Amino acid sequence: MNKNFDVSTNAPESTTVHRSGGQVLDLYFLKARAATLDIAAMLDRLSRAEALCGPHADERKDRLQAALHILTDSAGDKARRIQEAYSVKG
Amino acid sequence: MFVIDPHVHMVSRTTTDYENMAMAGVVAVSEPAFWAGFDRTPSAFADYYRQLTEFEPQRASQFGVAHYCWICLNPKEAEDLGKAREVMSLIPTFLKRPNVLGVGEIGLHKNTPHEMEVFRRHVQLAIDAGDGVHRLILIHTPHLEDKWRGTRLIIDMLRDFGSAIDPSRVLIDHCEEHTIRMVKDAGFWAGMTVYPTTKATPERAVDMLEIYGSDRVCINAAADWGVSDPLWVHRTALEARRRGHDRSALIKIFHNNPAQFFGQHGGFAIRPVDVLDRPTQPH
Ligand SMILES: [Zn+2]
Repeated sequence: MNKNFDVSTNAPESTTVHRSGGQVLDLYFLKARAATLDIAAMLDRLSRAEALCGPHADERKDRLQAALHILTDSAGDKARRIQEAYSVKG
Repeated sequence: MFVIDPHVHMVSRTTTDYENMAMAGVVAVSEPAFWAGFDRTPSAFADYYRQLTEFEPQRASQFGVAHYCWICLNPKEAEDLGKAREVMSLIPTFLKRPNVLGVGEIGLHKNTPHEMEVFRRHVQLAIDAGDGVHRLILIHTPHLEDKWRGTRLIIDMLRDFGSAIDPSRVLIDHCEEHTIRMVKDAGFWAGMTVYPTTKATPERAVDMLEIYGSDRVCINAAADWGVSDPLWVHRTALEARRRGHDRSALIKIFHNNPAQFFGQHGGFAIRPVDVLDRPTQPH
Protein backbone atom coordinates (compact mmCIF):
# COMPACT_ATOMS: atom_id res chain seq x y z
CA MET A 1 0.00 0.00 0.00
CA ASN A 2 1.33 3.42 -0.95
CA LYS A 3 1.69 5.39 2.27
CA ASN A 4 1.37 8.73 0.42
CA PHE A 5 -2.35 8.11 -0.10
CA ASP A 6 -3.05 7.24 3.52
CA VAL A 7 -3.95 10.83 4.47
CA SER A 8 -5.95 9.89 7.56
CA THR A 9 -2.79 9.15 9.51
CA ASN A 10 -1.25 12.55 8.74
CA ALA A 11 -3.79 14.69 10.60
CA PRO A 12 -3.00 15.33 14.28
CA GLU A 13 -5.68 14.65 16.89
CA SER A 14 -5.66 18.26 18.13
CA THR A 15 -7.87 20.64 16.08
CA THR A 16 -6.93 23.82 17.95
CA VAL A 17 -6.20 26.77 15.68
CA HIS A 18 -4.65 29.89 17.14
CA ARG A 19 -7.14 32.77 16.98
CA SER A 20 -7.66 35.88 19.08
CA GLY A 21 -10.85 37.04 20.75
CA GLY A 22 -10.95 39.89 18.25
CA GLN A 23 -10.85 37.46 15.36
CA VAL A 24 -13.71 35.46 16.84
CA LEU A 25 -15.77 38.63 17.24
CA ASP A 26 -14.93 39.72 13.70
CA LEU A 27 -16.26 36.44 12.39
CA TYR A 28 -19.24 35.86 14.67
CA PHE A 29 -20.43 39.05 16.40
CA LEU A 30 -23.03 39.94 13.75
CA LYS A 31 -24.34 36.39 13.63
CA ALA A 32 -24.65 36.28 17.41
CA ARG A 33 -26.26 39.73 17.43
CA ALA A 34 -28.88 38.48 14.96
CA ALA A 35 -29.42 35.33 17.02
CA THR A 36 -30.16 37.36 20.17
CA LEU A 37 -32.72 39.39 18.23
CA ASP A 38 -34.32 36.19 16.93
CA ILE A 39 -34.68 34.85 20.45
CA ALA A 40 -36.00 38.17 21.76
CA ALA A 41 -38.56 38.37 18.95
CA MET A 42 -39.68 34.78 19.60
CA LEU A 43 -40.18 35.50 23.31
CA ASP A 44 -42.15 38.66 22.44
CA ARG A 45 -44.25 36.62 20.00
CA LEU A 46 -45.00 34.15 22.77
CA SER A 47 -45.96 36.94 25.20
CA ARG A 48 -48.28 38.51 22.63
CA ALA A 49 -49.95 35.17 21.99
CA GLU A 50 -50.40 34.60 25.72
CA ALA A 51 -51.71 38.11 26.23
CA LEU A 52 -54.32 37.35 23.58
CA CYS A 53 -55.23 33.73 24.40
CA GLY A 54 -54.23 33.40 28.05
CA PRO A 55 -51.09 31.90 29.62
CA HIS A 56 -50.01 28.53 28.29
CA ALA A 57 -48.27 26.08 30.65
CA ASP A 58 -45.63 24.22 28.66
CA GLU A 59 -42.41 22.58 29.77
CA ARG A 60 -40.68 23.87 26.60
CA LYS A 61 -40.89 27.36 28.11
CA ASP A 62 -39.09 26.09 31.22
CA ARG A 63 -36.35 24.52 29.10
CA LEU A 64 -35.93 27.78 27.17
CA GLN A 65 -35.72 29.70 30.47
CA ALA A 66 -33.04 27.29 31.73
CA ALA A 67 -31.05 27.71 28.52
CA LEU A 68 -31.29 31.50 28.72
CA HIS A 69 -29.90 31.40 32.26
CA ILE A 70 -26.94 29.35 31.09
CA LEU A 71 -26.34 31.91 28.33
CA THR A 72 -25.84 34.70 30.83
CA ASP A 73 -24.20 32.94 33.81
CA SER A 74 -20.46 33.30 34.43
CA ALA A 75 -19.56 29.66 33.77
CA GLY A 76 -18.20 28.32 30.47
CA ASP A 77 -18.99 25.22 28.45
CA LYS A 78 -22.32 26.81 27.56
CA ALA A 79 -23.23 24.85 24.44
CA ARG A 80 -22.81 21.46 26.16
CA ARG A 81 -24.72 22.64 29.24
CA ILE A 82 -27.57 24.00 27.13
CA GLN A 83 -27.76 20.72 25.21
CA GLU A 84 -28.06 18.95 28.55
CA ALA A 85 -30.76 21.36 29.70
CA TYR A 86 -32.74 20.44 26.56
CA SER A 87 -32.10 16.69 27.03
CA VAL A 88 -34.54 14.12 28.39
CA LYS A 89 -33.25 13.19 31.84
CA GLY A 90 -33.10 9.79 33.58
CA MET B 1 -49.70 36.09 -5.81
CA PHE B 2 -48.64 39.37 -7.40
CA VAL B 3 -45.70 41.16 -5.86
CA ILE B 4 -44.11 44.57 -6.35
CA ASP B 5 -40.53 44.49 -5.09
CA PRO B 6 -40.08 47.94 -3.56
CA HIS B 7 -36.29 47.92 -3.16
CA VAL B 8 -33.91 45.76 -5.14
CA HIS B 9 -30.56 46.49 -6.79
CA MET B 10 -31.00 44.64 -10.05
CA VAL B 11 -27.80 46.01 -11.62
CA SER B 12 -25.96 43.58 -9.38
CA ARG B 13 -28.26 40.62 -10.03
CA THR B 14 -28.34 38.16 -12.91
CA THR B 15 -30.95 37.90 -15.60
CA THR B 16 -31.89 34.55 -14.04
CA ASP B 17 -32.97 36.51 -10.96
CA TYR B 18 -35.37 38.53 -13.14
CA GLU B 19 -36.73 35.27 -14.51
CA ASN B 20 -37.13 33.69 -11.06
CA MET B 21 -38.76 36.83 -9.70
CA ALA B 22 -41.19 36.94 -12.64
CA MET B 23 -42.05 33.28 -12.10
CA ALA B 24 -42.68 34.09 -8.43
CA GLY B 25 -45.22 36.75 -9.38
CA VAL B 26 -43.10 39.91 -9.36
CA VAL B 27 -44.78 42.38 -11.70
CA ALA B 28 -42.63 45.43 -10.96
CA VAL B 29 -39.39 46.35 -9.25
CA SER B 30 -38.21 49.65 -7.82
CA GLU B 31 -34.44 50.08 -7.89
CA PRO B 32 -32.84 52.83 -5.82
CA ALA B 33 -29.47 54.24 -6.82
CA PHE B 34 -26.88 53.00 -4.37
CA TRP B 35 -23.24 52.25 -3.63
CA ALA B 36 -21.40 49.94 -6.05
CA GLY B 37 -19.20 48.40 -3.35
CA PHE B 38 -16.42 50.87 -4.20
CA ASP B 39 -16.30 54.66 -4.58
CA ARG B 40 -16.81 55.78 -8.18
CA THR B 41 -15.52 58.78 -10.09
CA PRO B 42 -18.19 61.38 -10.95
CA SER B 43 -18.21 60.37 -14.61
CA ALA B 44 -19.20 56.81 -13.68
CA PHE B 45 -22.48 58.10 -12.25
CA ALA B 46 -23.83 59.27 -15.60
CA ASP B 47 -23.32 55.75 -16.93
CA TYR B 48 -24.90 54.25 -13.83
CA TYR B 49 -27.97 56.47 -14.20
CA ARG B 50 -28.22 55.43 -17.86
CA GLN B 51 -28.02 51.81 -16.79
CA LEU B 52 -30.90 52.41 -14.34
CA THR B 53 -33.06 54.29 -16.81
CA GLU B 54 -32.26 52.58 -20.14
CA PHE B 55 -30.69 49.17 -19.78
CA GLU B 56 -32.43 47.69 -16.71
CA PRO B 57 -35.97 48.49 -17.94
CA GLN B 58 -35.13 46.57 -21.11
CA ARG B 59 -33.68 43.61 -19.23
CA ALA B 60 -36.75 43.49 -16.95
CA SER B 61 -39.23 43.79 -19.79
CA GLN B 62 -38.09 40.46 -21.28
CA PHE B 63 -39.93 38.86 -18.37
CA GLY B 64 -42.90 41.19 -18.24
CA VAL B 65 -41.49 42.97 -15.20
CA ALA B 66 -41.90 46.76 -15.07
CA HIS B 67 -38.69 48.44 -13.94
CA TYR B 68 -38.73 51.73 -12.01
CA CYS B 69 -35.82 53.44 -10.33
CA TRP B 70 -34.66 56.26 -8.10
CA ILE B 71 -31.76 58.62 -8.73
CA CYS B 72 -29.32 60.11 -6.22
CA LEU B 73 -25.80 60.04 -4.86
CA ASN B 74 -25.81 57.46 -2.08
CA PRO B 75 -24.69 58.50 1.43
CA LYS B 76 -21.57 56.31 1.36
CA GLU B 77 -20.14 58.47 -1.42
CA ALA B 78 -21.38 61.77 0.03
CA GLU B 79 -18.33 62.50 2.18
CA ASP B 80 -16.51 64.41 -0.60
CA LEU B 81 -18.65 67.54 -1.02
CA GLY B 82 -16.93 68.57 -4.27
CA LYS B 83 -17.70 65.25 -5.88
CA ALA B 84 -21.22 65.33 -4.45
CA ARG B 85 -21.88 68.71 -6.08
CA GLU B 86 -20.61 67.44 -9.43
CA VAL B 87 -22.69 64.26 -9.34
CA MET B 88 -25.80 66.04 -8.10
CA SER B 89 -25.70 68.42 -11.04
CA LEU B 90 -26.56 65.40 -13.23
CA ILE B 91 -29.64 64.42 -11.26
CA PRO B 92 -32.33 66.91 -12.40
CA THR B 93 -32.07 65.75 -16.03
CA PHE B 94 -32.36 62.07 -15.08
CA LEU B 95 -35.32 62.76 -12.77
CA LYS B 96 -37.32 63.61 -15.90
CA ARG B 97 -36.86 60.12 -17.39
CA PRO B 98 -40.08 58.08 -17.51
CA ASN B 99 -39.15 55.21 -15.16
CA VAL B 100 -37.73 57.46 -12.42
CA LEU B 101 -40.00 57.55 -9.36
CA GLY B 102 -38.04 60.15 -7.43
CA VAL B 103 -34.94 60.88 -5.39
CA GLY B 104 -33.35 57.93 -3.55
CA GLU B 105 -31.97 56.10 -1.76
CA ILE B 106 -30.59 59.14 -0.01
CA GLY B 107 -29.95 59.07 3.72
CA LEU B 108 -27.17 58.58 6.17
CA HIS B 109 -24.46 55.98 6.57
CA LYS B 110 -22.20 57.10 9.46
CA ASN B 111 -24.26 60.17 10.41
CA THR B 112 -21.49 62.65 9.55
CA PRO B 113 -22.03 66.41 8.99
CA HIS B 114 -21.13 66.02 5.28
CA GLU B 115 -23.64 63.22 4.82
CA MET B 116 -26.27 65.41 6.48
CA GLU B 117 -25.42 68.33 4.21
CA VAL B 118 -25.75 66.16 1.08
CA PHE B 119 -29.00 64.69 2.43
CA ARG B 120 -30.51 68.18 2.80
CA ARG B 121 -29.40 69.14 -0.70
CA HIS B 122 -31.09 66.04 -2.13
CA VAL B 123 -34.32 66.87 -0.31
CA GLN B 124 -34.17 70.38 -1.74
CA LEU B 125 -33.59 68.87 -5.17
CA ALA B 126 -36.74 66.73 -4.79
CA ILE B 127 -38.67 69.86 -3.83
CA ASP B 128 -37.28 71.88 -6.73
CA ALA B 129 -37.98 69.09 -9.24
CA GLY B 130 -41.59 68.77 -8.09
CA ASP B 131 -44.61 70.25 -9.72
CA GLY B 132 -46.54 71.75 -6.79
CA VAL B 133 -45.66 68.74 -4.62
CA HIS B 134 -42.12 67.44 -4.18
CA ARG B 135 -40.90 64.35 -6.00
CA LEU B 136 -41.16 61.09 -4.06
CA ILE B 137 -38.23 60.44 -1.71
CA LEU B 138 -36.78 57.07 -0.70
CA ILE B 139 -34.48 57.09 2.32
CA HIS B 140 -31.81 54.65 3.48
CA THR B 141 -31.27 54.53 7.24
CA PRO B 142 -27.86 53.48 8.63
CA HIS B 143 -27.00 49.94 9.63
CA LEU B 144 -26.69 48.37 13.05
CA GLU B 145 -25.46 50.64 15.87
CA ASP B 146 -25.92 53.85 13.83
CA LYS B 147 -29.54 53.18 12.84
CA TRP B 148 -31.40 54.66 15.79
CA ARG B 149 -29.50 57.95 15.82
CA GLY B 150 -29.47 58.20 12.02
CA THR B 151 -33.22 57.66 11.75
CA ARG B 152 -33.80 60.32 14.40
CA LEU B 153 -31.53 62.78 12.55
CA ILE B 154 -33.27 62.08 9.23
CA ILE B 155 -36.73 62.72 10.67
CA ASP B 156 -35.50 65.96 12.30
CA MET B 157 -33.92 67.17 9.05
CA LEU B 158 -37.12 66.45 7.11
CA ARG B 159 -39.16 68.34 9.73
CA ASP B 160 -36.88 71.35 9.23
CA PHE B 161 -38.28 71.62 5.69
CA GLY B 162 -41.73 72.31 7.20
CA SER B 163 -44.73 72.09 4.89
CA ALA B 164 -42.46 71.70 1.85
CA ILE B 165 -42.23 68.00 2.77
CA ASP B 166 -45.30 65.78 2.80
CA PRO B 167 -44.52 62.67 4.92
CA SER B 168 -46.93 60.57 2.87
CA ARG B 169 -44.59 61.08 -0.12
CA VAL B 170 -41.49 59.89 1.76
CA LEU B 171 -40.53 56.27 2.49
CA ILE B 172 -37.95 55.72 5.23
CA ASP B 173 -36.42 52.32 4.65
CA HIS B 174 -34.65 49.57 6.61
CA CYS B 175 -36.80 50.20 9.71
CA GLU B 176 -36.42 47.73 12.55
CA GLU B 177 -37.98 47.19 15.96
CA HIS B 178 -36.41 50.30 17.50
CA THR B 179 -37.12 52.72 14.63
CA ILE B 180 -40.40 51.72 12.96
CA ARG B 181 -42.60 53.44 15.52
CA MET B 182 -40.90 56.84 15.21
CA VAL B 183 -41.16 56.64 11.42
CA LYS B 184 -44.84 55.68 11.34
CA ASP B 185 -45.81 58.07 14.14
CA ALA B 186 -44.26 60.93 12.14
CA GLY B 187 -46.53 60.04 9.20
CA PHE B 188 -43.89 58.61 6.87
CA TRP B 189 -44.05 55.34 4.99
CA ALA B 190 -41.89 52.68 6.62
CA GLY B 191 -39.80 50.17 4.70
CA MET B 192 -38.71 46.91 6.28
CA THR B 193 -35.81 44.97 4.84
CA VAL B 194 -35.35 41.24 5.20
CA TYR B 195 -31.65 40.58 4.73
CA PRO B 196 -29.27 38.04 6.24
CA THR B 197 -27.57 38.90 9.55
CA THR B 198 -27.62 42.70 9.47
CA LYS B 199 -31.33 43.49 9.03
CA ALA B 200 -34.69 41.87 9.80
CA THR B 201 -35.62 38.24 9.26
CA PRO B 202 -38.92 37.22 7.66
CA GLU B 203 -40.19 36.22 11.11
CA ARG B 204 -39.26 39.53 12.72
CA ALA B 205 -40.69 41.48 9.79
CA VAL B 206 -44.05 39.74 10.22
CA ASP B 207 -43.86 40.40 13.97
CA MET B 208 -43.44 44.10 13.22
CA LEU B 209 -46.42 44.02 10.83
CA GLU B 210 -48.52 42.44 13.58
CA ILE B 211 -47.37 44.94 16.20
CA TYR B 212 -47.27 48.19 14.22
CA GLY B 213 -49.90 47.45 11.54
CA SER B 214 -49.70 47.07 7.79
CA ASP B 215 -50.74 50.57 6.70
CA ARG B 216 -47.95 52.62 5.07
CA VAL B 217 -45.50 49.71 5.19
CA CYS B 218 -43.50 48.15 2.36
CA ILE B 219 -41.38 45.00 2.69
CA ASN B 220 -38.28 44.43 0.58
CA ALA B 221 -35.19 42.25 0.48
CA ALA B 222 -32.84 45.02 -0.74
CA ALA B 223 -31.06 42.31 -2.70
CA ASP B 224 -27.75 43.62 -4.00
CA TRP B 225 -24.17 42.42 -4.59
CA GLY B 226 -23.95 41.06 -1.03
CA VAL B 227 -25.18 37.74 0.32
CA SER B 228 -28.87 38.39 -0.27
CA ASP B 229 -31.87 37.02 -2.14
CA PRO B 230 -34.71 38.89 -3.88
CA LEU B 231 -37.08 36.01 -3.04
CA TRP B 232 -36.80 36.77 0.66
CA VAL B 233 -39.76 39.06 0.00
CA HIS B 234 -41.70 35.90 -0.84
CA ARG B 235 -40.23 34.11 2.16
CA THR B 236 -41.76 36.88 4.28
CA ALA B 237 -45.11 36.46 2.53
CA LEU B 238 -44.88 32.74 3.27
CA GLU B 239 -44.17 33.43 6.94
CA ALA B 240 -47.24 35.69 7.11
CA ARG B 241 -49.34 33.00 5.40
CA ARG B 242 -48.09 30.31 7.81
CA ARG B 243 -49.34 32.47 10.65
CA GLY B 244 -52.79 32.67 9.10
CA HIS B 245 -52.78 36.07 7.42
CA ASP B 246 -55.24 35.84 4.54
CA ARG B 247 -54.69 36.58 0.88
CA SER B 248 -56.19 40.05 1.02
CA ALA B 249 -53.65 40.94 3.73
CA LEU B 250 -50.80 39.53 1.66
CA ILE B 251 -51.88 41.37 -1.48
CA LYS B 252 -52.14 44.57 0.54
CA ILE B 253 -48.64 44.26 1.98
CA PHE B 254 -46.73 42.90 -0.99
CA HIS B 255 -48.56 44.50 -3.90
CA ASN B 256 -51.02 47.20 -3.01
CA ASN B 257 -48.96 49.12 -0.48
CA PRO B 258 -46.07 49.65 -2.93
CA ALA B 259 -48.61 50.38 -5.68
CA GLN B 260 -50.18 53.03 -3.44
CA PHE B 261 -46.90 54.69 -2.48
CA PHE B 262 -45.28 54.59 -5.94
CA GLY B 263 -48.63 55.43 -7.58
CA GLN B 264 -48.31 58.94 -6.17
CA HIS B 265 -45.89 59.39 -9.07
CA GLY B 266 -48.04 59.67 -12.17
CA GLY B 267 -45.71 57.50 -14.23
CA PHE B 268 -46.17 54.39 -12.08
CA ALA B 269 -48.61 52.28 -14.06
CA ILE B 270 -49.62 49.46 -11.68
CA ARG B 271 -52.79 49.99 -9.66
CA PRO B 272 -53.79 48.25 -6.42
CA VAL B 273 -55.88 45.09 -6.93
CA ASP B 274 -58.56 43.48 -4.76
CA VAL B 275 -58.90 39.87 -3.63
CA LEU B 276 -62.60 39.09 -3.84
CA ASP B 277 -62.78 35.73 -2.06
CA ARG B 278 -61.83 36.01 1.58
CA PRO B 279 -60.84 32.59 2.89
CA THR B 280 -61.73 31.99 6.53
CA GLN B 281 -58.89 32.21 9.04
CA PRO B 282 -57.39 28.80 9.87
CA HIS B 283 -57.86 29.43 13.59
ZN1 LIG C 1 -30.57 49.63 -1.07
